[in-house]
Amino acid sequence: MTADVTKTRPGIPGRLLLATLVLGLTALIAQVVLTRELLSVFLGNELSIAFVLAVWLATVAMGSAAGARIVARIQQPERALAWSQLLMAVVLPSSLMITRSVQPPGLTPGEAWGPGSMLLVSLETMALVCIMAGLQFVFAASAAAGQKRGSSEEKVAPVGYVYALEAIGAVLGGIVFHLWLSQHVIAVGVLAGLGVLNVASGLVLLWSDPRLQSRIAAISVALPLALLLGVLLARASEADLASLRASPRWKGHEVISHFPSKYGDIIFARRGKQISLFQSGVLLGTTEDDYANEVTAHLPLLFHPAPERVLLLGDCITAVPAHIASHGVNLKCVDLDPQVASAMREGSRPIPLWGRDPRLPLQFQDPRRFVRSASPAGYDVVIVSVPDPTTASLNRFYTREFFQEVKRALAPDGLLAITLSGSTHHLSGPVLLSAAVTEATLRQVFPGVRPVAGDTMFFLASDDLDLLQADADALASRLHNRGLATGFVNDAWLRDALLPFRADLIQQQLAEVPDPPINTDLTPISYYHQTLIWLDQLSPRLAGTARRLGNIHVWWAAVALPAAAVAMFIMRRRWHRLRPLVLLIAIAAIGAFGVAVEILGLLAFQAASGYLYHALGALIAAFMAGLAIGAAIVSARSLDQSAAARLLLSGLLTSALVAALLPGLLSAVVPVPALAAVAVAILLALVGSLVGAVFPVAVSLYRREQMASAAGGAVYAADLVGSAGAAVFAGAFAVPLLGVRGTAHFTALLLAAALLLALPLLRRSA
Amino acid sequence: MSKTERRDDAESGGAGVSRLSRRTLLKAGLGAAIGVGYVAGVAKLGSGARPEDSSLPARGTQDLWRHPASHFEKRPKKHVRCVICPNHCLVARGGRGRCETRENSDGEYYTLVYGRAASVNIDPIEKKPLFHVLPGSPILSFATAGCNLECKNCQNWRLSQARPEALRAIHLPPTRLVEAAQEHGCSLIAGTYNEPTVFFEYLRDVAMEGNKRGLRTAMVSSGYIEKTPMLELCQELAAIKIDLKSMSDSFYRTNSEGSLQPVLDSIERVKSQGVWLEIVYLVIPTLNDSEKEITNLARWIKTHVGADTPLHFSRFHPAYRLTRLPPTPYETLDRCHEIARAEGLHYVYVGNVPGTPAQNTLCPKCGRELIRRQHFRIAENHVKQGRCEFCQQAIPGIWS
Repeated sequence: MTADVTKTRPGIPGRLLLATLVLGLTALIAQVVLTRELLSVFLGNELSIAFVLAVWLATVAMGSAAGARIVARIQQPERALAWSQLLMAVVLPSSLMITRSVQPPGLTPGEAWGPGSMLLVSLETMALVCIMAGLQFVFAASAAAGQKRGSSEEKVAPVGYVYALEAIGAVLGGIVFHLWLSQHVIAVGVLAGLGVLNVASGLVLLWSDPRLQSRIAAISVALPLALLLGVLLARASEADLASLRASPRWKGHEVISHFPSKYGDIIFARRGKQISLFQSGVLLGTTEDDYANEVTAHLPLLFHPAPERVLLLGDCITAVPAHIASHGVNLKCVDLDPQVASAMREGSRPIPLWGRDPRLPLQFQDPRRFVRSASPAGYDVVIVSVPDPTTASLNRFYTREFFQEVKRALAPDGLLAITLSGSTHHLSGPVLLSAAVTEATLRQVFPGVRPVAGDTMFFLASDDLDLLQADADALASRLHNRGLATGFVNDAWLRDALLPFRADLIQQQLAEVPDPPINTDLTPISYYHQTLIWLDQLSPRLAGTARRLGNIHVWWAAVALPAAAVAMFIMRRRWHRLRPLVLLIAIAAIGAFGVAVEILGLLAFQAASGYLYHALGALIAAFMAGLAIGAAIVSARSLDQSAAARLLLSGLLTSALVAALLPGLLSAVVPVPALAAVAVAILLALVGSLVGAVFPVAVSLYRREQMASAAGGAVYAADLVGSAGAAVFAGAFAVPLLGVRGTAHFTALLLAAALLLALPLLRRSA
Repeated sequence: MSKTERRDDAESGGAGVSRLSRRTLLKAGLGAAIGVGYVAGVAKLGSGARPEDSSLPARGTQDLWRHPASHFEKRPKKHVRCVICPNHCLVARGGRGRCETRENSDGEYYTLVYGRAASVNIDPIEKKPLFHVLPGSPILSFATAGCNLECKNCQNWRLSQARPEALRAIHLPPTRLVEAAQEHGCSLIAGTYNEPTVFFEYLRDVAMEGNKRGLRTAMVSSGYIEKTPMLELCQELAAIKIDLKSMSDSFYRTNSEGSLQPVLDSIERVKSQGVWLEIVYLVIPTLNDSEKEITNLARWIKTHVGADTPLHFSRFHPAYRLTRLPPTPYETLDRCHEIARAEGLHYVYVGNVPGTPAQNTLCPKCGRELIRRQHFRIAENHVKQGRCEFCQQAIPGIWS
C-alpha cells in the first residue's frame, strides 16, 4: 500500500477541533474527580490508586476498541460524537451519584472495601464515562479523517491531530483542575460544569447540520439538559451534601461539611457530640481522640530530659500541639493542608479546633520541604506524626534521605520520633518487615534507635545513646516534675509501655529479619509492605499473589528478549497474520514506557525536591504537551509504510535506550534540586513527544489492516492497555521492589523485546 | 508453508550441519558469549530490595506443636466432626476446621497450636479487663494463631485471622509457661488476644499446671464454645471474661460469622459453675449501640447471671476491616452506663474515657468509691478481704 501519504493539511473544522478539546478536557477532569471519589471509598494506597487508574484506562481502551469495530458502519461520525457528548453530560453527574449510593452486599458502613468490591464499584462508576470517552475518540478521528465513510481513503494525519488535540484538551483540563477546580469546586459542581461544556460542544456540532429537523431535535434535548445542569451547578453544595447524607457509607453519621482540597476531599461528620475528620476517606482524627493525642505528644518529650525547641510535623490541628506546649517548650507546627483548618473555620457550622491553642504557631507547608530548609541544629525534638507509608508520597517521611534531613535539623542530643501502625501483641509478616525496614533505615542515620511496642509503634532515634536508655521511672519522674495533667499517660501506663519484657520481645522480633532493605527515596520499599498489610486484611488470596510478585527480578523482563527472538523465528512465515498483533504489542510497550517514565520522573522529582504536590500538574502537563507536539509534528509528515516502519523501530529503540540510561540521568540530577526540576520537566516533555510521535506512525502502519479511524481506535486501545498495565505493575510493585534503577532496566528490556519482535517490519514494509 | 519451503528448510538445515565451519563455530561462540554476557549483565542489574518473611518458623518444627485434639467425632471415610465450638466443622482427611488450627490427619484430629505461643506479654490485669480480680496485678498473657469467628472489628486480626504457619511462634509448653509467669512475678496467666477455644488443650493443660503450682488461670473469650469443653475449662479456670458482641443474632452473623445463642449459653454456664465472670460489650457506633439493644443487654444479664456480674462497656477504635468507622463517642458510652445502672446492674464500667468516674468500683450498698482507677493505675483500693471497707458489704470477685 502506498496511498497513505499525508501531504494534505488536516482541515479539521473549528467545531470538531473544539469538540476534541472538550473530549480531552472532559476525560482528564472526570478521571481525576471520579478517581478521587473512588479513592475516598477505597482508602487510597498505591495499589488502589493504580487499580482505579487501570480500570479507567482499560475501560477507555474497551470503548476505543469497540469504536474501531463499529466505526465503518457509522455514516455520520460527527453526529455520533455530538449525541454522545449530550449523553456524556448526563452520565458524568450520574456516575458520581452511583458511586455514592452503591454499597456492595455484605459490607457494613465503615467497613473497608476489598479488591472485589473495588472492581465492581469502579466499573459501575467509570465504565459508562470511559467507554463513551473511548468511542468519542474514534468518532472524532473518523469525523476528522474521512471524506468517504467505510472506504480506505481516510487520511491518517487527522487521526494523529485528533490524538494531539485530545492531549491538549487534557493539558488544559489538568491545569484548570490543578490551579482552580481542585481547591474551590466540589465534585458535583465540577461534573455539572463539564456537563454544560459537553452540551455546548454537542449543540455546536449538531447546529452545523443543514437539516432543520436535526437542529430542532438538538435544541429540544440540549436546552432542558443545559438548564438542569445549570441548576445543579448553582446548587452544587446542597446537592453534594444531600447525596453524601443519603449515602449508605455515612449511615448513622451526619455529614456536616464537605470541602475540596488539592490534597484530597475533606469531610467532617458528626455522631452525637463527636466530630470526625476524613481526608480522601481516611479517618484523620476525631474530637475525642485523647489517648492517641496524649501518647503522640508526651512519650517522645518525656524521653528528652530538657526539651526547649520542638518541631511537630503533621497532626497540627488536633490536641497534640496543646499537649506538647504543656511541657513549656517553644513549638513549631507544620502541616500540609491549609484547607483543613480553613474548612473548620469557614464551614456553615465552624468546628472547634480540637482544643488547639490558637496562639501556637502553625505553618502550612509541605513538612519535608520545611525540614529541608530548616536551620541546622534548630530543634531538640522532632515529632513526625503522619499516616503510615501507604503511598509513595507518604513514604518520603520514612526514607533514609528524610531522616538525614531531620538529623541536620536536630541538635546533637536531639530526638526524632516517628510512628508506624503495629501491634502490642505480635509482630509478624509484612507488619514486622515494615517495622524492621523502618528501624534499619533509621539506624543508617542515627546510632541509637529505640522502638516502643504498641498498636502504634514509636521509633525514637538519636545520636545520644544515653537519652534513649531512660526507663519508666525516669519518665514518670519527668511527668511529675513538669506538672503535666494527663488522662492516660501516667506512671502505670509508662511502666506497661516500657516494660523491659515487652522491649526485649520487640527487639528479638526485629532481629529475626536478616538484613532488612533500606527504604530510600528511589527504592521506596515500605509502601510495598503496606500494600501487603492492606491485602492481608481484605483479600488474603490476592496478598499471596502480591507476595509472589515480591520476588520480582529484572530477570523476568530479561526472559522477554530470547522469547521474542524465538517468537520471531517461529512466525517468520506467518508474518502477515501476526503483523497487527506485533504492531499493537509495540504500541502497548511504548504506552507502558510513557507511564513508567512518568512514574520514575515524578519519583525522582520528589526525591530531589522532597515534595511533589505543587509541581505535579506542571510535570504532567509537560508530558501531555510533549505528547501533543510529537503527535502533531509526525502527523504533518508524509509517511509511506517503509518510513513509518523505520520510525516505529527508531521509536522503540530510542525508548529502550532512554529507559536504560534513565537511572544514570536521574541519579545525576537528583542531588541538585533546581536542576532536577528542569531536567525532569524536559525529560517528561521529550518522552511525551516520543510517545505522541509514535501514535500516528503506528496508526499509519496499522491502517493497512483497516480504515484510518478504526486503526486509530485499535492503536489507542493498545496504548491505553500498555499504560494501564504499567500503572499497576510499575506503580505498585516494580518501583518499591526494584527501585528506579531496576524498574527502568525492566522497562528497557521489555522495549528491546518489542523491538526485536517488530524488526521484520523493516524488511516487509519496504 | 508450502511443501517446497519445507524441503528447502530441511535441505539447508542438513547442509548447515554438514558444513560446520570455523566461521560458524566462531559465530556460535560469539552468540554464546553474548548470551553469557547478557545473563551476567542482567544478574548484575540486580533486583533491588528483597523482602522476605524470615520470621516464619523453619520447616520441620511443625510437629513440635501437633497434639491430639479433644472434642471431635469420627465419621465415615476418615472424616471428623469437630464439636469444640458451634461451628461443628466436618473435616475431611488432610483438611482443617474453620479456625485453621485443628487438622484431620488420616482420620485422627490434632491441634496444631499446642505450646505454640505466637504472643506472650505481661499486662496489667485492668487491660483484660478483669476489674474484680486482684486489682493492679500483672498477668502473663499468651495467645496462638487462629479464631473460630471472623469479627470485622478485631483488634488482634493479625493473630486471629492467621494460619499457625504464617506466624512466628515460640515453643512454650504448659510447664514452661507457668514457670515464666512465676519468674516474672505474675499472679495469673491468661489465654487471651485470640480465641482460647481454638487452643483449648493448651489452655486446659496450662491451667492444670498452674493449679498444681498455685497460680490461677483466666480466659478472655468470645464464649463461642460448646457445652462440654466449656464445662471442662470451668473445672480448671479461676476467671473468665466473655465478649458479648451484641444482643442481635443478625449482628453476629454479619459482623462475626457466628451466632448469638451459644454465647449466651456459655455465659450462663460459666456463672452456674461458680467461675468468676465478667462481661465486656464493645460498643460499635451505628452497629450495636441502640438504646433498645443496651437495655436488652442489661436486662438479660440481670435476669440470667445476676446484677453482681460486672459489665464493661468498651470503646471501639477503628481496626481490621472497620477502619472508616470513627471511635465510639463518649456520650454514647455514658448513655450505655446510665442505662445499665438504671436497669439495676451493680458493677458497670466504661473503659478508655479519660477521667471518667465510670472506671471506678462503687459499693452497691453505701455508694462509696471502693477502687479508684486512673487508666491502668490503681489510685485507691478500699476492698478489704472482699468487703467494702466502709460498710462491710461483700464485694464479689477474687481479691486475694
